[in-house]
This record gives sequence, structure tokens and C-alpha cells, in this order.
Amino acid sequence: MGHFLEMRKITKLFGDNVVLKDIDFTADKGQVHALVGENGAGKTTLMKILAGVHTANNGEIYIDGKKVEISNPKEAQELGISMIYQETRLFPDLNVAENIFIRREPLKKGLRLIDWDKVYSETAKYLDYFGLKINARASVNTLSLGQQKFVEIIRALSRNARIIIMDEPTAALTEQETELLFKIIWDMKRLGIAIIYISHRLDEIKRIAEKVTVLRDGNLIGTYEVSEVDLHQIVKAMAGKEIEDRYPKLKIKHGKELLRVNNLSHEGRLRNISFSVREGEILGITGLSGSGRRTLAKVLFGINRPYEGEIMLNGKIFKDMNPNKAIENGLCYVTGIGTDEGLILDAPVAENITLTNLKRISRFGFLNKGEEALEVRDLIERLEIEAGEYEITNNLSGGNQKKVIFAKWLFTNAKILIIEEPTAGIDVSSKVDIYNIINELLLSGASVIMISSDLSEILGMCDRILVMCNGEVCKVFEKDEATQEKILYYASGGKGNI
Amino acid sequence: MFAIERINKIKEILYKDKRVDVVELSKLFSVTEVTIRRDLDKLEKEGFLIKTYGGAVLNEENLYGRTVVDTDDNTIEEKRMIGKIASQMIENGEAIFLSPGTTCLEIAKNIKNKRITVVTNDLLIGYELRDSAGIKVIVTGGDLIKSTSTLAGSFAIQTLKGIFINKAFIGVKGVNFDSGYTVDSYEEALIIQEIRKISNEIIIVADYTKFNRTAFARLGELTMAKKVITNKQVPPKYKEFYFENAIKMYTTFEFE
Repeated sequence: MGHFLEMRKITKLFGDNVVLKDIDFTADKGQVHALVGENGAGKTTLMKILAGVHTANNGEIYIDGKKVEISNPKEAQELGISMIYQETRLFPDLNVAENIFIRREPLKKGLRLIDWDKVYSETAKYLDYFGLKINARASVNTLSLGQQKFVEIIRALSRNARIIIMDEPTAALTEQETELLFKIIWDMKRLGIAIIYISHRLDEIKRIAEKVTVLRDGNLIGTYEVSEVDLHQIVKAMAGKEIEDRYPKLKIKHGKELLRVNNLSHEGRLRNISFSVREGEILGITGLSGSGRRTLAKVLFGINRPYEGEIMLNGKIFKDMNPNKAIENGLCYVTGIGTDEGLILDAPVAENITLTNLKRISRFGFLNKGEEALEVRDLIERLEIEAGEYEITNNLSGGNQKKVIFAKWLFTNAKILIIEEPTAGIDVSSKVDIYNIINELLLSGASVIMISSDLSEILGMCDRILVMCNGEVCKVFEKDEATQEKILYYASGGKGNI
Repeated sequence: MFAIERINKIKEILYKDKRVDVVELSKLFSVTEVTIRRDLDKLEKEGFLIKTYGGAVLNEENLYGRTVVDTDDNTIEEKRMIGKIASQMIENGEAIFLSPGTTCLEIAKNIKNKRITVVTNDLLIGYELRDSAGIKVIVTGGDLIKSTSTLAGSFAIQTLKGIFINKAFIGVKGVNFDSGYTVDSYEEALIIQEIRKISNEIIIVADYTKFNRTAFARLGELTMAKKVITNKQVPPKYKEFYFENAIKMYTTFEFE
């Protein structure tokens, strides 16, 4: 007894499907309790029950020793429970302070007027406390995804949250943002907040969590003290049986080598990386956050410079790279969404698509708007993008935004595509589309380097898998040799054979 | 307008006028001349037309050799793309089954240079493969269903005894959450039930117009096959269903 939060014997059915079975879970003030498991293990469902989004078919919840009933999100909020979802739930057109105080703005004494001074000063106080360099009056759609996460955390705290649930908060964050998030989590611990942290990144859990609970297929596998448990043990508990393959992989005959990297090193963050990719092939690159997989993409595309070693495109050796050179030689970088690198969110779809190759629609240096519209309409149709060419990109769903990034690179006739987190944060139906778009690209003779933290996607789609750890390639698998467990083992620093 | 609709329109114009003009077509469909040229390239590859300066003319020679079944089929482009994807799944040395219909006929057109065994109960598919040196073609025999090229009945079923299939491609007429996969006749369904017993893998092929529809005879649940090949226009809820039920769904996007 004595836990701040106790969930007892929680069972949940969707139709006839048992998605959670007799789950016990606890959380304590000032501690992080990590919840891990593969996709579909029931982590998010369990937490949605706590947040009042779903109701359990069976089981009890106690807070501070008192039994509570949570039947909707409002009741959860009144009990001090706040959930921060994978996809941000902010109003993109409102500013930071408005988002934080929405629907409960402080009123001026005796008047039914919103006390705006107080809204902004309170917001600034929170931003200061966490050392965040964000303007309280900045519109949310100008913030990076990481910054938006921080705004959501502040919103939760300002609602007097005592339990904060974070669902894979680092999935779309940069490495720096992840560091900042961890700092904020430490600050929240000091404030006595109970934090529940859903993740499948074991390195993160080692760093910030006190306890870890493993779920698999809706069953509770165990709860462990992080300081006592061996990484390998958690990996084993998580992986269980291999999940069924659902990825539309096409076996395509591999042609000539399009890209080769020899002994690539960069600022001590990448060391001696060598690999090659052929026509029709998907090379998967995975690793935990901080492993250098995203840095590698940026070095290849010439964003991070300089490097040692060589990059060979189509047989041509490059000792130095920049994005223009990369594009001219058929290499492109399909960034993850929300990283504010891939799209100009407040520009129309058409502009985003044609931006990287204005030459194609220009005559004697003048932009031909009519030509732009035609080419863009053609791409929108071919990729099934649900949007008009003049719609503002920010208003599109994640799946459609991702397709716009693909359209942009199809427009430049790229042959080697570095695709980062191809399906993170997008709906299932767009996911299926993206995989099939990748297939078509391969059929037309392209090469793909898929950088992803989604292991089942990597296992399902790639011909070869490169596992990175601390800026080095620590293991290369052929498609048939790899399993989730093996990848996790090497990615988290395991050596030798398993 | 979808690219496929445009291509079908171009075909219609070709049938009627026997010739087309790139500039006119680009104005008519409000697309670039590059796009139109790409469409014409595609049709030339199919042997439908011959390109000329600034346009193309109908390839009348080829018309007589063709079976006339697909002239009024407005999803022939989708089926052609399905055929292309399906052909990627077939490896030399395998024995495959092709069920009756124009979609499987498109598969047949894409596998002519492979070394495989093809079992089919569609006369047109057997005929399509007549000149492919590397392909052993086995036509089931059986009763010919009136006004079709489909063979069925107990005689057809008997011929399937004692053989084994690596991959069976099954064209269906209806795909629906409630009724599952359906085909036009009970006789056809019986043959496919037999095929399920002797096949390693069932692959459903259906263009997007078959979704949300139900035909006469039921084959089974949507989960009966682990692979489905169709088009990008399929309603999103099917894409979700297949992914969530660990069924590989291949859709076609046209980049050349």
C-alpha cells in the first residue's frame, strides 16, 4: 500500500477482443514509472483508461488511497490526471499563452473580462522556470514539435496536474529537444509530480525512470526496479513472440550500386561508417535516439559538414557535400514530419512541392504559375493527397503532409531517397499508402535508405538492416536473420553473438 | 480526373478519331504536355497506338489480334497495374493458379518471360500464354460457363486433384466487411474452395471498384488471404482493416 496511484486488475475489451487483462499498475510522487511493450501491447489503452478516454470493463483505480471513478476526460482532469499524447493537441493558430489557459482564462476582479496581463505573466513564469526560450505570444504553429510538447506539459502543470502521462514523448523530437525534455522531467520530479512514461526506448528509461512495467499482448509481464533490472531481461520480456508481418514488402531485383559510403566520420558523432545501397533495395538504419542515425542522414545530404571519408553517388566520389549538390546528383532527404525541416507549414501545398526544383517550372528565370499548377495537380492526384494545391500545408493531416514531402522529391526526380521515420505519427491508411509509394519508387529503379525507430516497420520493409550505436555501425543484418530482440540487443550496446 | 480516367478517355478518342494530338489533349485535360506524352508512352507499350510527330495514331493492326473483352472495361489501367505488382511476386520454378477474369489476364500478360507452371480455369488466360516458351500451361477442363471463358463443374475440380500450387491469384467481384470476398457464380466459388486446399498461399486481386460490393457466391472472410493487391483509391477503412489484421496490402501508384 501507500502508492499515490494504484490501478488494480484493469481489464478492457474492444468487442470480443481482450486488449488488457487484469493489469496492476502504480505510480508514486516524484518518480517516473516507465511503461514499455511492443506496438499493440496495450500501453496506450491502459493510460487512456486512466485519462478517462476509455472506461475499463473491470478493475479499480485508487488515488491517494481513495477509490475514484473516472468516466470521462473532464473527471480525470479534475483528479489531476493529464495525458500528453504522441500527436500534439494544441490549437495551432492560437499562441502559447492562449493554449495554456484556454477555456479557463483568469478574469479581472469584479469584471467578466479576461485578465490578459495575468495570462501572459503566468505563462512567462512557467517558461522561465523550465528555462525555455519560447515567446508566450508566439503562435503555436511556429514552434517545433518539441517546443509544442513543452507547451503541453506546462498546460498540464498549470491545471494542477499531479499525475502526468507521456505517450512516447521523444518519438518526433530532435536529440537536443530530448535532452531538454529530460531536464524538464527532472524538474517535475522535484515538484512531486508522478510521471508515467510510455516508451520503447530502453536507453531513455535507464536514464530517467525508477520503475518499469512491461506489457505484452494485453498481459502484465512484470514490474521491475530500473536500477536492478538487466536491459536484456526487459528486451526479452517485451519481444515475446515475433509479431506477425503486415508490411507489403515486394521482392525487387537489385540493380547497380547507387550510393556507397566509405569510412565516413563526422565531428566525433559518426565514426567509420561504411555501407552501400543498390537500385531497388531498401537499406534500413535503426538505433536508439542518440545513436547517430539522424546525424548520418544530415551528413549524407550535406546539412552537417564537413566529414571525413567519402560519399559515392552513381560512381562519382564526393569529398564534400551540400544539399544542392546532393539534389543535383539525385539524392534527397525525406524528413520526418514535425521536424520543421521538410515543409514550410504556412505555405500552400503547391509551393512546398515545387520549391526544390523551381527551374523545372521556370522559363528564362520567370516562374510559370500555370505550369506549377498543372505539375502539382498531377502529383497530388498520383499520390492521392487529400488537399487542393492552394491549401495551406499546416491544415493537412500528418499522413497528407508526409505525402507532400514525397511529392516534393518526386518532383525533383530523386533516385536515392533517405526517408526518415516514414510513418511516425500518421494514420494507418496513409501508412499503407506510404509503404506502397516506396514500392513504386523501387520498381522505377530508386534506392531507399529508411531511417526508422519503428522496428516492425524496419523488419517488414527492409532488405538489409544496419544497427547503429554511439555513432558507429554495430551490426548489419540480412532481412531474414534479424529479429526485434536481436536488433534491440545490439542497439542498446550488446556485443558478441546472441 | 485520375490519370487512369484520362488514359481511358484518350483510348475512347483514339477509337473514334483514330488519331490524337498532344497539344489538344493537354488543353482538353488541363495537364502538361509531358503528362500526355507519358500517357501515350504507356499506351504505346501496350501496343494500343503508334506515336507520331506531335501525337499518335491508333494501332489498328493490333486490334484484330486482341480479345474484345476489355474494350468497354473502364478499369483496365488499374488491372494492368495490379498485374504488374503481382508479377513481382512470382518466382521462377513456382506453380501458380490464375482464376478467371480480366485482372488475372493482366497478370498473365506480365509473366510471359518467366519459367513457371500456370494452372488456370480461364480459356483466355491459357490462350494468352500460348507463345510463352518458359511457361507450362495447364487448363483445367470442365463445363464452360455460358458467355464466359470460365471452366467449372466437377470435371474441373477433378483435374485439380493431386497437384500443388505455390501461389494462387484469385480475382474477386466483391470485397465487403459483411459479406467478405464474393464471386459471380456458385460454380466458380466451388473451384476456388478446391484451390484453397491445394495452395500454399492465396493472393486476392481486385481493382478498387470491387470494394464495398457484394457478388453472388461467397468465398470467405476478408482474412482468408494474407495478401491483397489492389489500387490506391480503395476506401481508407479497408487499408486500416488489412493492416491491423496483419494482411499485406499492395496498392498501385503510377510513377514511371
